Amino acid sequence: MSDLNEEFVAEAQEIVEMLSRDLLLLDQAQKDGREDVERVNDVFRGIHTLKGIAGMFGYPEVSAVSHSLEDLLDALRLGKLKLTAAVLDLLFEGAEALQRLLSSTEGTPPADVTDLIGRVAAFLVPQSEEMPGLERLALSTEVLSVLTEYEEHRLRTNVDAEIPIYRVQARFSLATLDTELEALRERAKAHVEIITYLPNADVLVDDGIELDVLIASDLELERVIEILALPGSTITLVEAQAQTKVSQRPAAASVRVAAPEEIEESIDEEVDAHEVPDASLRTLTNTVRVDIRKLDRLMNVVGELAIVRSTVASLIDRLRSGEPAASLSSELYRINRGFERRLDELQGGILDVRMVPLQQVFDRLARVVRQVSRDNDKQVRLAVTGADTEVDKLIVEELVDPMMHLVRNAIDHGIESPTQREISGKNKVGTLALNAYQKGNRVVLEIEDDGGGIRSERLIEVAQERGLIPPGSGQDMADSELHQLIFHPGLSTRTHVTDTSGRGVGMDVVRTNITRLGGVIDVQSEEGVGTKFTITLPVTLAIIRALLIRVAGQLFAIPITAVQEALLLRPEELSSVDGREVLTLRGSTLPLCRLANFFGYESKQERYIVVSKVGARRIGFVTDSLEEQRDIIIKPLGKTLNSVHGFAGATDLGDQRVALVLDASALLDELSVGSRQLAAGAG
Amino acid sequence: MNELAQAESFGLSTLEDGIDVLAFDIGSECYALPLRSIREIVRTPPLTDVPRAPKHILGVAGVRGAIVSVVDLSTLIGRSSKRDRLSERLLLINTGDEVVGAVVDRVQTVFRLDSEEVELSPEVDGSLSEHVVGIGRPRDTEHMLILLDPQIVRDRGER
Repeated sequence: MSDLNEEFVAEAQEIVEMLSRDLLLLDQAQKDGREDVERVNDVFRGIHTLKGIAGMFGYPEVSAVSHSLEDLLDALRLGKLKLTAAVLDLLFEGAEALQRLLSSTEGTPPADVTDLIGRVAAFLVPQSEEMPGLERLALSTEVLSVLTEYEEHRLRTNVDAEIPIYRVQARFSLATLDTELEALRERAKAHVEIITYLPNADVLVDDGIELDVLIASDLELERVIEILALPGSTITLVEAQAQTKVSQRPAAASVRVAAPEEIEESIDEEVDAHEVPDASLRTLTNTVRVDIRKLDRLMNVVGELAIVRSTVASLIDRLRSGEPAASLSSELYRINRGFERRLDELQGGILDVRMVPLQQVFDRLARVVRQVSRDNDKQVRLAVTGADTEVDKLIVEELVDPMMHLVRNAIDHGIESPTQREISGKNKVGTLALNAYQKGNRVVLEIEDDGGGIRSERLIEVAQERGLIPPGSGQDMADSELHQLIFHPGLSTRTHVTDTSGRGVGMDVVRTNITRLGGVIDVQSEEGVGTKFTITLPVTLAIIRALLIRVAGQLFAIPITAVQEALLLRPEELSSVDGREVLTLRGSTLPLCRLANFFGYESKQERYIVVSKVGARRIGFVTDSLEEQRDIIIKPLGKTLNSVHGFAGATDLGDQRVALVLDASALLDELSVGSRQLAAGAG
Repeated sequence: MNELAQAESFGLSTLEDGIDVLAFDIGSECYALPLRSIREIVRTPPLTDVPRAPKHILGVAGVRGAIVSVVDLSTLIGRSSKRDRLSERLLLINTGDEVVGAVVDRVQTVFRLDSEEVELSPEVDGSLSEHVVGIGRPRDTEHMLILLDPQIVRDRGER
């Protein structure tokens, strides 16, 4: 991809994402029976921009789809068309078609969009213009004649809704006109609709201009004046002269909505069209948009570092010219301190630049929720909190696919059908909650549904079938332990394959992906009540805090997120359960794993236990020594080592040493499955 | 991998113009890899053992900030290595989607081979033939180079 095209795709994708977000809000508003005029305008403007840049960069399909959507949106904002579910579907489909067009790689023929464009056109059968009923307003024809089509439509809508129209005459300074109007619009938002402003030719002042502002508001006059806050302005009510005509609604007269059969048909087609393989929700480019001020700050730090460098250079000169080293040492110490501080700032600044809000992920998931719930005939309300929580861009990208899988699972397997929900005495609209919040230097993500929960019976059955647990066992397992089985490769409780989930990519892949990010995933579920997945992630991938331990002479790192505490190993406190070493720690049983032995080494100096907690499960890793805590950068192990389990990656410790990073949750799995099979074999 | 694909991977399809190979020793034999598959030759850094890894994996090493898996070529081709720390080198081999380090006993030199100097798919001892693309005999020298497919470093780990 050339730089220019990359730029285009990045920008286009941003617009499409924004579009999807706005469409979801419109969808919500439509369901609530509200009309969100401003939003329709936003969408219109976005599509308009997209059309422009797509044409400029030579993407004819994108341009064609945007053009057709623009027509549709224009009809909406002019009130020629009503925002119905069918129209929304078409818009969503359009957004998705755009997304697909943008992600199709060079060389492959772009998807066929003529069908979509044709259907949009079918919605836009031209209508006979309706008689403008605005003459009854006490406005001069001069004013009326300069209104744009849109302004006229808004004016008429307000008149028909019996919302009072006011004419405000206010004086503005020419120099600050733009900002003042912007501020006015901001103040007016939500309470007062500004229909138009026209310069008043009758009054000319030296340094200013007098504008006629037409507004509509059903607030009391005093409130309106207060909100507008335009000192020295006059405000007059524009009276309607013939109240009797009000009942004539233009919407009813002018809009031709497609007949129901047509809609059914188009929806069917839409489903067929979606049989194309799922596009990943990852973004298509590796760009991050950065506030220029953040870069300025980084530049400042770099400037200061340059000063440090020149101070060091002068120090070298002085040393060379024979100045005693002792006299320079305190100076060097000071320089070093400054250097460290700048470096910290630089590091912090760079990390900051990499941070993006989770909003992006959540927006993309909202699309999935809408799609999957419709495909499955389920009613789902999405509740999102903490979308402004910031996470490293890289993590966000890697997080999208696992999250999508969880969301699909929650709707497909979790939330019941509306009828079933009513039978169980639940609200027939299921709730899927996505929560994000920062907790120390970690970010917690929750995906919670109020569906049927994990059915333990069924889970045990399948686990036995697949040989994950010995036949006849499982009944005595605690729920929390049982639920961990869903992360096991090759287990899926689906009874029949559905379109959305159960395509072989299982929860084990989800967990592997999360682990690769240095995160942990845990599940809590109650039958009949719901399921909650909790993902804990480091805020940034770049650097995580880890505990370095030594096992049989070799260094290993454990992410501090997985470490609960460290204890001295006292052999006399150990006991054995089912041939497995355990320690009774404050009343609960802690299974132990002698790492040296487990890894095939030999050690005679085991002295510490590192208690690791992953979700609800704990294990004590027996090690030789605890070395230190430090910030490490986890690097993935190559594909050559795919077959080796138990490590999340490796880290360069400097001085040419490399330490492997333990993957506590993978080790826990391996150990718990192993011991169960062992126990079964022995019995 | 079929012969054709292997020859392709080695770069023999462009043999008319000749191909540069890097010759190196393992045990008493001389082997060669296409030069364009070699990213770098470095002194073997300290290796970190990877518990429970296959036998031919010597460990991982940090090379310029990246973590590289290091394989023992002598194990992969079923020969024994001299393991002389002084002459031993680590070849960083580009396998397409991953750089893998391979330890060899000694790096010789670069040869340019044309099609007359290469004998494709010769009959050699069975265990090795799978990774051997052919034999190279540079003119005017006594050398006999066993030409290896760079993918050899990926092979066993995935089986």
